Amino acid sequence: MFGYVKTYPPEMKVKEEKVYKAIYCGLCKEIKKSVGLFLTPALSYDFVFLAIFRMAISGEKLNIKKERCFVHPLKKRNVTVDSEALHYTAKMHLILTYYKLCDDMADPDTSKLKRIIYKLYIPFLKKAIKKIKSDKAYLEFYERIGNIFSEMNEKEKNGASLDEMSKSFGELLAAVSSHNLSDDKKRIAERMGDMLGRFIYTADAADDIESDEKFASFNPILAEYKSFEKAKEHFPEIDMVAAYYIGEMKLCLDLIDCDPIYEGIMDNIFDFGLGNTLKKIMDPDNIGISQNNMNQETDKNPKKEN
Amino acid sequence: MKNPYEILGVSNNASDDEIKKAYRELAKKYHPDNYVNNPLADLASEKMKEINEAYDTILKERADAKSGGYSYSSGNADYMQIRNLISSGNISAAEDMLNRVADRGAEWYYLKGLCAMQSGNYNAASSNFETASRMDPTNPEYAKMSERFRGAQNMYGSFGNRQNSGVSPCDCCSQLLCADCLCECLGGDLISCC
Repeated sequence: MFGYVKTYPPEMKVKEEKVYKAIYCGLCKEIKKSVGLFLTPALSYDFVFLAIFRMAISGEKLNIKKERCFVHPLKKRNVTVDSEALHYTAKMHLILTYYKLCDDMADPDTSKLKRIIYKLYIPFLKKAIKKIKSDKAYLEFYERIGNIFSEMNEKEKNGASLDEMSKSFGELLAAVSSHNLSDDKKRIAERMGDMLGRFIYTADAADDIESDEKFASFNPILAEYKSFEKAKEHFPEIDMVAAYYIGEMKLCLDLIDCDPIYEGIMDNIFDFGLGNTLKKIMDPDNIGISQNNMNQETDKNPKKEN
Repeated sequence: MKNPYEILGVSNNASDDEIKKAYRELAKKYHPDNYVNNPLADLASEKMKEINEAYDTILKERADAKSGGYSYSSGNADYMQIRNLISSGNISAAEDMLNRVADRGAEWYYLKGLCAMQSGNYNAASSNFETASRMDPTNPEYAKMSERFRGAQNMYGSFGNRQNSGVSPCDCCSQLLCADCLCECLGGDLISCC
């Protein structure tokens, strides 16, 4: 989706980093399998988080094998295999990417170049989507996601607030995180997804204010404060609520009894990764020297990955 | 008893979550199960008693402050009714009543914040709680809610007080306390007064 849910490598244990990479590779392979080898839309880190959370909450054991990859053919890599959570996350990735691409195609502001690329992707996605829709367990879910997307479009047209928009995106991720779970696990996953969705939407909205102002695109923060300069003055308030969402996600994590390796990775994301994302958006001039020098990744812009 | 906040190694205005976290970590450390058949078991159980007392004291203090807060808020019957509506989950009725109130003081903003919170409008909630605390800084009930957001900002946000290295003044104190305990266990004494 947006690439905001990342780890913070300087604080990761080496073994956690290895497992994280193996899950990333596993997910990428799984997505390629479901869509087809060549035209796989970019995998963003956010889905890797969803996969890890799914593994954690369903108590899945890690199964890592050394396999080859088409994109990196020279050396065999650690890849997570035989994972129900990865099958699941790949399906989610497919559904959300398909809706997003359709959304972008319908949006008159989308660039010509993007349209050409999407026109190539969409038929492949359509085929895979048809397969998903034929599965009873996913059809209703697929339609529910579609409804939430439509709702969001309506809200945009009517100029909704940041709260209203984040609420919808929270609802979306709550559904994505909790589908096919039951009872307590479902409730925890829904809460986690809700807070995560709100966080991602808020971070993305704040990140996009400047460009949305230039291209006259809808942005709830811009709608409230009228200009990028004015909106910046209110960043501390927006930052505070985004931080609240992170705290709430941690509370969800506390309620899950899971393999410490998953917990370690998610702790890193909540304690450092999300805060780092936030800081680069809210207070980019004050990033400390420890981050700039130690970790190359933090130098990259946290912009959309598609 | 020593300052209970010092015993848990947190600051006086630590959030409830930070207090719980600190208690849990210390309780894990000094739990009597860890010291079964250990000649130092009695020392650990003394420490455990001290930690439990500190934790209970802080919780009681804060609970008292909260119920005391009820007498702070206006005895206004309308506000009492709105509070009841909010507790029973009837947010739209509560909001309707609130919107009809002309005189909007700190209590009004606090209740507005509670409504927003229940409706999942966290930006509105945070802003209302801030306003309520600003209008009445002495009210612990208002402070508690705005602290939930401020506390989160200090822990995870970009404009909070947390330093990236994760070392806070509390770490220094708790490390000294531990060093002192260790010294005393071995027969010496690092800090003579505790």
